[in-house]
Amino acid sequence: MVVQQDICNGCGYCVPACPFGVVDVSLEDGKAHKCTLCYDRLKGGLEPACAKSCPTDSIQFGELEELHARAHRRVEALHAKGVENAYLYGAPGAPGATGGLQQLNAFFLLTAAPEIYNLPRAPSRPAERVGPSLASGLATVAGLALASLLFLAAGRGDRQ
Amino acid sequence: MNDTALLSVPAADEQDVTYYGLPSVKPSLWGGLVSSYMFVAGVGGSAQIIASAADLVGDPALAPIVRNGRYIALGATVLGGPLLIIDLHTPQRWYNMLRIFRKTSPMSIGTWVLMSFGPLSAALAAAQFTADRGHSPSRAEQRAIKLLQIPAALTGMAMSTYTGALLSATSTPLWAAAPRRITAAFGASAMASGAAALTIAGLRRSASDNTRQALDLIGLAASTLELFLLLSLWRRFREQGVDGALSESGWGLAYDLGAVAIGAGVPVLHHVESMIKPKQRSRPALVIPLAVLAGGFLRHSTVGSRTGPRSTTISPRWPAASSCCALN
Repeated sequence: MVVQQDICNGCGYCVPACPFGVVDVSLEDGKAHKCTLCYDRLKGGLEPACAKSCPTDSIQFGELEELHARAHRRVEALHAKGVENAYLYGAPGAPGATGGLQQLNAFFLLTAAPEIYNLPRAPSRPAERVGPSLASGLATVAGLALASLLFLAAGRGDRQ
Repeated sequence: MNDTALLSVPAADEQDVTYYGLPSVKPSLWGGLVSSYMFVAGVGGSAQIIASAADLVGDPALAPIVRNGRYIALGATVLGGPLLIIDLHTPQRWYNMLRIFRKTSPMSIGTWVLMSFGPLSAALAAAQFTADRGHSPSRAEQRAIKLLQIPAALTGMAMSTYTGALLSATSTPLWAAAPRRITAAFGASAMASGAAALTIAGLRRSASDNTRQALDLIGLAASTLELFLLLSLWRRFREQGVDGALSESGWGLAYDLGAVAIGAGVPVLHHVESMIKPKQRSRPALVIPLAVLAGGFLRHSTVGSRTGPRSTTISPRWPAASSCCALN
């Protein structure tokens, strides 16, 4: 996901919508911002600067499927070494990929509770709530509109 | 939700484990402008719905409701649009909202609802205005106006409710805790406020008793449903452990007293009382509709405004019975 800086009008809806608290609006330029994965570097065929410069290669960039396979191998290796609490967060079917989120495009290998890394334990996709929410509201108002019609029509005879 | 996956996550050892006290989601930047808009949108949308119902009945005695409803709907649009634009952090780019339609975003849905409701309401108000000035519309014009009233009512329904979906489709725990109930409560609140606004608007033009009674009944139905939904919403907030977000924000009393008691409780009691003793009007006619409007405004201000810091640190989405719930 990339925020288009030439389009964003700073409505701010993305800020509370983000399940991971990533996006924020700058009060200086009035636009929303988040990591662009070094969009300019990607266009030039380079990996993001954080992945490039990470001295321990903790941050890796690449095709998701390849990264998933690598991460699973790493978890198994850690388990074999006795680090039993190692797990993936945000890989398909793993914690973090909950509530309608199939997988996270940035996923993590963690060894403690997600909260310790400032990650939500069970994030959900906010858009999942749009349908049920709208439907129940519209049904309520439609019911009351029908009731209004009946109440307004009921007095008709009296008024004539 | 994948429970087995959740259980494999190490449980946090201590209560309230956070990353250096930072919440994992960000609070909304919205304030009074957006919550005022939500209130105004509800009043305007619902006034248009009731006007449409009155128009459909076709009784000349209901003409004041149709007239006032159309004007209130226009007023809400004229007031509401700028409220939203001023709230943008780059207001000069407001029209970028019109580049796309995105069904996963209530913000985008709402943009198009307002863009449909506004012109429809403006057209109906213009027709009403020319009729009020003595112009008698031709048969074709009459038919066109009657036809316009239907999409105006439908978009009015969306105006009265989409703001609830806007809140529930965020990651803010309080807003996301009860997606169905919050929007139903917004809708019922809007209908109560719409009826109250029409009652007040009708006071000047000595509306007939029957007209006022019909509005009273609509208000009673909406307020009763609203009271029920608010209590149910309240229970849901407690079940999910997010009710603290309201009380902690300092708005707890305003919500309890204003939104629930004044906005819904008092009107319901009054309606019941006046049904038992129809001849005794102990209170001036303005008090109850004003209470409904004030309660509706307070409810949107408390639920819709930025709530306290705990609104983002408490996490309601955890299964309450599971051992993982250190944050609750």
